[in-house]
Amino acid sequence: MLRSAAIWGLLSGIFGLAACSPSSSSQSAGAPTVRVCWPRDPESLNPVTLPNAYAVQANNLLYQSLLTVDGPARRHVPWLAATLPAVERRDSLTYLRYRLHPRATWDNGQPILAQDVAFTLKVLNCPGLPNEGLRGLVSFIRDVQLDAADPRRFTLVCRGYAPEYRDNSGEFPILPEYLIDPQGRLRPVPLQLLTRADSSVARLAPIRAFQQEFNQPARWRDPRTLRGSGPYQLATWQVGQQLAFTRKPHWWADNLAATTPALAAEPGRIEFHVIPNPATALLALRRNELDVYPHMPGPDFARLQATDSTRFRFYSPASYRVVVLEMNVQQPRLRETRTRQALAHLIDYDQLLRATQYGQGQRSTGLISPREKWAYHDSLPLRPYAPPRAAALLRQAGWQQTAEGWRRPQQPQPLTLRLFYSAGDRTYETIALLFQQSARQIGLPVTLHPTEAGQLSELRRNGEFDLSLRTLYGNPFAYDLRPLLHTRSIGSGGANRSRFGNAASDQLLETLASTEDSVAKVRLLHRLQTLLYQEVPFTPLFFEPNRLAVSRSFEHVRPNGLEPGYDLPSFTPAPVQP
Amino acid sequence: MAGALLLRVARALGTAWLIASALFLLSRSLPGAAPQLFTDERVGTFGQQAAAETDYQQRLGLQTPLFYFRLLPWRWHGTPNQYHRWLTQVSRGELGSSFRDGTAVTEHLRRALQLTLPLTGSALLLGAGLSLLLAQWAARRPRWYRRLVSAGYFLDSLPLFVVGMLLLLLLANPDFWPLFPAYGLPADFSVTGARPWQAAPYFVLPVTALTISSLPALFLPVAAALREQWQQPYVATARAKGASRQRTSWRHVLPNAAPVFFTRLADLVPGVVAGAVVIEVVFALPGMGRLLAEAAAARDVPVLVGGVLLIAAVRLLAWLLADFLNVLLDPRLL
Repeated sequence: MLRSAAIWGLLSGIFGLAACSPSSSSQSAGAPTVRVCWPRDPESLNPVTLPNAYAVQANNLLYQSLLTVDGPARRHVPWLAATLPAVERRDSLTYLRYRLHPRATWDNGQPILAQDVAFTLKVLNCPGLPNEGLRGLVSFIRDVQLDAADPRRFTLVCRGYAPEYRDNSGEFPILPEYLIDPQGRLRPVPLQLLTRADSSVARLAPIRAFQQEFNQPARWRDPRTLRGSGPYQLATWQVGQQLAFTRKPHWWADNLAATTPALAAEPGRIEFHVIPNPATALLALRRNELDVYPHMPGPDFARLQATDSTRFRFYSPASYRVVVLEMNVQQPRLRETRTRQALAHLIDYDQLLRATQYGQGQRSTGLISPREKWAYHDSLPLRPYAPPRAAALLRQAGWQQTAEGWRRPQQPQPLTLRLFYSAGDRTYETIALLFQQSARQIGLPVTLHPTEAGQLSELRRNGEFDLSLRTLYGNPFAYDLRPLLHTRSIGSGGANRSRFGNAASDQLLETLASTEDSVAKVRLLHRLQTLLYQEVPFTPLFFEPNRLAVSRSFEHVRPNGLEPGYDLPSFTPAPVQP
Repeated sequence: MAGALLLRVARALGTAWLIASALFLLSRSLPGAAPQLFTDERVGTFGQQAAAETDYQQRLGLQTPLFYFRLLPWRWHGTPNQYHRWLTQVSRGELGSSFRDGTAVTEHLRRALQLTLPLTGSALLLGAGLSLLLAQWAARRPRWYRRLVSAGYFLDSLPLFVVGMLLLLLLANPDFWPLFPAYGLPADFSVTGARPWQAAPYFVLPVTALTISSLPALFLPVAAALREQWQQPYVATARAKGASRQRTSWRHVLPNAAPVFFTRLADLVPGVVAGAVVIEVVFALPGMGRLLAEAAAARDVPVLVGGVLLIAAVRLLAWLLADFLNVLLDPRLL
């Protein structure tokens, strides 16, 4: 009797608790709620820090920049600016003339003025703030000239010239001076003083006072301070768990007659749920507790497509993320070009795509996406998987196949290679195993070194590897590849981990970075692609797809290849199917 | 006895300081241990990256010397060094601030503990209670004892990840039995807030997984100790004098096996504050385990050192408490 009472008690307890499970509905009577899965927390919403892509995505709901990217159209469009800037080159300077949108206002009703842009640039250049990442992005802006006649007009005065200046000049979030610096401490400090590399600036009284106020971490979690001219405001932030944004009841762009996609803000509430485990995220999506699951793992995406296509829409546009096998060209074993070419023939690209991307993804001959037809060098053939050809190339490079392996006459040690990659990454693990298997076919031993990400970064920076797997993030706007390929970017100066480069390649990269003429640019890009194809400092494996599953309750997803891969503010409820 | 306890407390504090100092110095001196502004994925502007990294390191205070001196070649740095500044902060009860968001480490720990303590604390209590009851019951039943020991070893061999995923796929799966929430906590959850019991369904699966995995660690040694005690002559004497099985079990056998129970429990107590990273990842709970794992990955040394210091302190405290209880039960151990 007692036992059965205990069992019933336990069962009713469980059912009682289960009855308390949350409701899974996301639609309210008014504007809908969209729930998005994130694998990690944004860590900081401070608009000058932006440590990762999630922080950037959240910030774009709170703040606006002068220009924004229209993902599906793959171009920059005006956001806070009324139009794209007019570019004028004079002497060694470039002038970018902007006018802010005449209707743009802050939440307190005050207009957004050129003075706010000048204030933002001062904040981004102010020493002692966590702005080191963004400071580099605006380092080409020397001064701001305000228009005395029109407080919304201003000119950015830039050092030198680069074609990317126009887009880059509009990419930083415009900050409200009335909230961030209500005492106007930075107002008397000229921008030119802050852009100077002078350590004494940090000791000025107004700068120190501003630093102290700005660096209070609590203010960057406070919805009252953390607000810009964007359509959303922070509702809650439970660190490591959930972020919620609500639509402002009155936003300056609400009453614009012809709203462009950039000025759309349809959802009433946007929630980001932090779920690090993909299996849990998939369950939550299937339980209708999530509406959007971006960057889905390939196997989960394929399974969900097979089982739940009536409830979800699936998108997989090619992204600008390319996975490459990087080769350390300064390692004596890999110094010879033909050795590196041989390794590129040891990759079964089609099998890789099947095994890691479930047939999706796109092969390429270089770092430029084949989607960018104007820039992609399509005359170069895709390298085939050809172990016999690889063996022949090794022989041409002076290696001789012996019973102990591949060796050179003057070298006692046979050729062995160490392949490093980030531990725990399933895609890298599969690629590494397949490559090891292929290399074994021609008697070339490859040892695998899954390594912790921070440690791996250090090894790569110091050039202590032979081969490594890496994902490079690109976009269709900028073709300044100096941070990746210039010799000055070797080591801690940049991200040239293959340590490739010489005076000629540096010259080519510099000319490319400063060339505006599209015909000349295409010619230079083709030259660069040919050079990289021949020299093989890395071999591109594939461009990843942006795998995205979205509940059929929503439409106007606007999937695209750029981060985050969808346009959340455009989401509208889908009409109910009869 | 008080003197001996004081000595142990002093020894424990010294050990905690040694552990924290070693961790602080190692975490900042090993190659690749310094936090980097730019990673292989996040590339800086051409020609600006090195300067930006220097500014970043300077803002975090990593440009000053690490310790009072350098050995090779010898150089005396004096008190303006990272270790001295950290030690001064610790002596004031501060643990510095996170490299990632500037928030005080104590605030990070407080927030994580708010979730971890109810999660792991309830799992430990459940595990301890259940294992004690099971061990008491099985110690007198040889056939059941053998079966439960086998089951205990089987459970012990199951990785926590597997236990968590099995529970999730069985009891939170829309294809099977979606009884409990699959992840997270209610949006407005706070232990001290209104109606914290609304979070109870969210805790059922993670607490069950942790209880299942901690059960063998307590049950197996305690059951073995109880079984050994049941074979002692004093049990026969107690039974011959008319003590019931129940009374013999709780009043005579258990006190003699209790040191094993307390010692094993003391080993598990640090896990209450350390969290369970696997379960926190599976059920998307932002507790101590995830905080420390993410801090380690991001080289957020102040958070990492603060967390380890807390865990080390709790471990030492648990050992002290276990020693104290064992001495109370058996003064010969002093």
